Amino acid sequence: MKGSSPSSTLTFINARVRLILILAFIIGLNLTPAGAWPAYLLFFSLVLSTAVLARLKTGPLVLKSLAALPFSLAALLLIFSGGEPLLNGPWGIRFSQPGLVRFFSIVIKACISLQAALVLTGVTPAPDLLRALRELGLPRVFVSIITLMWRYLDLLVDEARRLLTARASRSSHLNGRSGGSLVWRAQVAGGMAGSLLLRGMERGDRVYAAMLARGYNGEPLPGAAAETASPRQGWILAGGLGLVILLTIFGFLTAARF
Amino acid sequence: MFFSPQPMHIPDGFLSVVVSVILWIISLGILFQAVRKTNGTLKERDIPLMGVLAAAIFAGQMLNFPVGGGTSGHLLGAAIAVILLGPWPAVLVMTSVVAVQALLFQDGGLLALGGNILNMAAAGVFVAHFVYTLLRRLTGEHKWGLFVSGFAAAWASIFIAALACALELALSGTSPADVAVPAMAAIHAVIGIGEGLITTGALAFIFTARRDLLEGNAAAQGQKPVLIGGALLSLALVILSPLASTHPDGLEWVAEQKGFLESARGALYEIIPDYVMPGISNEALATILAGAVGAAVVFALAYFTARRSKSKTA
Repeated sequence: MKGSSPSSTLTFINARVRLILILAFIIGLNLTPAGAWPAYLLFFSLVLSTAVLARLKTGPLVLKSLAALPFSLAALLLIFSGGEPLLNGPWGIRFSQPGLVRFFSIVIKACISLQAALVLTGVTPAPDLLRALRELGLPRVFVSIITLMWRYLDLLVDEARRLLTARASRSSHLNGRSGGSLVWRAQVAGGMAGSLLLRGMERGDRVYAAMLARGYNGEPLPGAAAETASPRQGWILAGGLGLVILLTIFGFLTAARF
Repeated sequence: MFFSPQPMHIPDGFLSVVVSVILWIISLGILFQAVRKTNGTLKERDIPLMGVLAAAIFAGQMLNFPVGGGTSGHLLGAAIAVILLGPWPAVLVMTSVVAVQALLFQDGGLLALGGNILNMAAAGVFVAHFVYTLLRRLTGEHKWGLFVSGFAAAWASIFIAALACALELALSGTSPADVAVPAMAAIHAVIGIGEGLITTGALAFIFTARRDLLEGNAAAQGQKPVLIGGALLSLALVILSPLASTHPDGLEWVAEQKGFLESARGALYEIIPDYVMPGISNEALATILAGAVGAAVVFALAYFTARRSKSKTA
């Protein structure tokens, strides 16, 4: 569930540079106007080639990126609204052509953005990502909280799973129907959430006691040493940003006009 | 799938870049304010506590209960975080939850993270704080007051966050306001009941097990600016949403104004062929650019592959 293969290449690029480049990529992609199909293809091929270089499996990458699809329900209405010209579909449904173009552009952009984010986490273990965030100027208190959250996440997720297992093994189903009233079921889930939060708070106190015993004085957690910013990292950053800008301009030039 | 944990994590692609950047700026401002405020009042045990509690809320979002029709109710957790911690620490905890979901689990986009933080970690928290404090004062010391306030705060946090989400989508031109805002409001008015019930259940558990945690914490911290902010925010969104849905033209007007990029694009078409490079049509320019991009991609591929094989043999 968490972490990534440390053997992947592209690790010679700073985590910080990687984070900036992926963000720039997503911004450039989303700046590209609707209907710039050739540009989307180039953006997609860039993500895929990066994934190949990083030795990530491209099939699962593309499949996972489809997780953005359910949200496209929010944009579905575009198809039926918007100005002329309208296309006549079957059963008297009228589609708006600009709406269709916008809808599919949004869906494609969402999937490619998700792939880019997946490549980032695929080549960057969580601790590196958190360190990159601190190097980019996020407050240390905040990074400390996220770091501690990450450290105890597996533990508490397991705890939640145990709660779910415990409930499932005490419950019975009859013809797929759940027992009790809706309010009662919600209260049971609420009790589980309450106990999870209490255990979390009590664990937080124990963690604090343990940290105190090791000399913790309220200062945010010390992080690993910062990565050196060599000139080569600068060149990689500049090259990557330039490529994204080129792709975005290309998108503006090739966008379908309505 | 649409009813999976929170149908409120906006992925990338659904918010326009202009809207995303504005939302990022707002939520970064709120975040820095939260860091400043908590730095002042933070006892030293609070950092580990907030970290572990953020993990607990993340895990708590897995807990569900069957509603019927294959859907299930889930916990978002903004209200319970406010009740246990007070407003500013709750902002930090919820931001951590939303940020980790986006950064490490791709639940919600990176560019859209500003908006998601604003909806779930800021708006949800402030509104829950306002409703909870107000109702606690009104209901006095009664035990049922705690549960009623908790339920209302949880429901309001979901409802207001959904309204904010719908307005952001409409502002980005992703969904038409006249249909999307009432639809989002209606769906989340129902989902909010689930959140309210779970929150009440959790409060009942905590009330029995650790009553001390519920006494005085958030209510005593009823800082005026936060309270007023929460009140204004909920008022603005509640008034704005029906307005936006009955007068979608207003929102579209904003979207038009903001859509200067589109007009800039038109200008680009006008300028380049006629003045900068006379005689070269768009197609030619596009081809040249495509060639340049393709060459850059190939170059980068070759470079990285060479690097890889070099580091392998080294």
